[in-house]
Amino acid sequence: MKEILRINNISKTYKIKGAFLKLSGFVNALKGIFFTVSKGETLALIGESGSGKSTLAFIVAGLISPDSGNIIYKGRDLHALYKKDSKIRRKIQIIFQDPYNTLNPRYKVYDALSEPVWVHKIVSRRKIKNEIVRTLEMVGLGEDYIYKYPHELSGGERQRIAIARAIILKPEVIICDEPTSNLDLSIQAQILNLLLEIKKREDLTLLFITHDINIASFISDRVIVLYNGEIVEEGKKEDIFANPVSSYTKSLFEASTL
Amino acid sequence: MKILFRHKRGLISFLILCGLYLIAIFSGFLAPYHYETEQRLCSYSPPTKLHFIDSEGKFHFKPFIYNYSFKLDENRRRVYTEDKTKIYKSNFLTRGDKYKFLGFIPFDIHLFGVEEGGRFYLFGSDSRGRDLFSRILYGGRVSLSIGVIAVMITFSLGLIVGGVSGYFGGKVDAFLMRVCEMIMLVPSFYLLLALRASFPPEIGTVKIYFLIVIILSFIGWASLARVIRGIVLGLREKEFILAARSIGLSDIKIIIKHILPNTSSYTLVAITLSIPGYILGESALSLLGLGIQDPVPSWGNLLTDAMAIAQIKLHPWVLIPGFFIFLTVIAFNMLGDALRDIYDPKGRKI
Repeated sequence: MKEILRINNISKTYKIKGAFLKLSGFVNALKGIFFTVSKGETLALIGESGSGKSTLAFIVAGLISPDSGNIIYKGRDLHALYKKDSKIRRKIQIIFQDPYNTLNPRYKVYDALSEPVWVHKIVSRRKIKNEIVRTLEMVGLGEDYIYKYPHELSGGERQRIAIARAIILKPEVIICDEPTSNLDLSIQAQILNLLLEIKKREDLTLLFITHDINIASFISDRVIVLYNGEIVEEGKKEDIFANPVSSYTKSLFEASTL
Repeated sequence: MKILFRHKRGLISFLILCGLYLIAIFSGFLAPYHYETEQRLCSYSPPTKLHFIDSEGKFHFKPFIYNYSFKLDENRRRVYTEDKTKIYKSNFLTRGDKYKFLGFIPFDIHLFGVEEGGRFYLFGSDSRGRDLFSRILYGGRVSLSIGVIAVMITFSLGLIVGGVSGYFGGKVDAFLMRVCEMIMLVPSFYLLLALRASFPPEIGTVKIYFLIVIILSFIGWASLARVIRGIVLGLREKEFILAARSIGLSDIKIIIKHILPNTSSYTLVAITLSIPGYILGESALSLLGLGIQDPVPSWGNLLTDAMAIAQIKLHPWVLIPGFFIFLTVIAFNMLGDALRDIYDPKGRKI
């Protein structure tokens, strides 16, 4: 399969500020991560909180820059591209964890979805509404949602809008930063199925970040296990779930089967 | 807006303010005299009484007035008594002093007035025999508008500085916040006086007006910028801001379109609560003779007359402008409180 993203030796350190101009310490969020993502696959990044998985997601999405290392997107340095031309951002989109913060409370669904469209001039002004309705249908919402405010929507509906906001740009990669962790179990399944369906239809690559083994096993083709900013396990889903190598992964599986 | 109508105190104060601003806008029409019209013979004339029944016991449907005449007492003070020999009928929509309706249409019709020769002082007159009522109405133009204009400048400055500072953080933030602290460090009233002193004392009224506006807003923006920065700092980490960045929106657009609108519930309350501060600031400057200069009235410089206890004892009506300041300030404060109640999601029991 064709490689679409290469995460090349990424490191990120956070400074911890102490009292009055003193630096009280560092947190090594990521310590030289290296892996590749192939086109069309779903790669799950598993890790506990503090393992650096969200930091990694933000770095790939260009929301923070790494201290060292780079990300190669189709043979070019992604962060250099971000700086030069913000148009590249449409190729890599991100869906966030908290459905209650992911939408601007003052924006109607129409405003939230039209913004990416006019920023990247995807369709002409007159066709914006059609495009939004089409995208809403893809995420399973009707046209009547166009003029609703976020506070009128449930958590699951908000997350669908967030997905719509990402796919309306027709990206190649979508990073999902625990998109279901704040939702009810029944709605989790709906959202995951929706993501898989859209992925198949739009030929997307998913980078799925989660702390839930069951979700990872449901959605992914390949799994990477992060622990303390390092990769402890990497491989095909079937291999890892059948035969985990590292002791951390083993303990993770044991905990989840309880 | 709708909720405001259910909030009793908020609604009352809102209506009072609307009334005061309407009065200020239409001051030329509502005031029976121009603010410069003098009657030296009527220095400190007491408020004119409206009569319905004349000395012969006849009832008049329209109220009328008597002019005052004075005698000097043993301290050579004027003692005014009503001169009941001639009746001056009052009338609505009378012709009088020329003024400019809404500031540009030449006009000479006033809402009410008395017959030619009568001197009608609803709130008494000042040392030069100018009608205090008219001067208060005209004074409202300065006093009420100065607060609003100064607040607009303050808030655009505070929002921009606070927004940029909070959004970008780091060195930009540190620099801008130190500048704010430097301005906040100086006690504001001394800063006010010092800034005023750095300009020539005798300049045109319009210039002085804008000078005061600029001075007042220069003092006010720093503390606002700090609060806005705090709010923005919290908003910056919200996921919808990150989403806007990942869409590829530029920083400036994110600040304008996503961040600042989300501070509006605070901003609106803060605006209403800070307008009285500017009105009082202008009044204080004018009271000290550093603000708007006579003959142009403002509520502050009208109160200059009330600085001496003796004046208040002999002519208590010179305190009336103070009542208008009081009314405005309290109405703005109550409106601000009401808006805060409305915007506070925890206290929606209205």
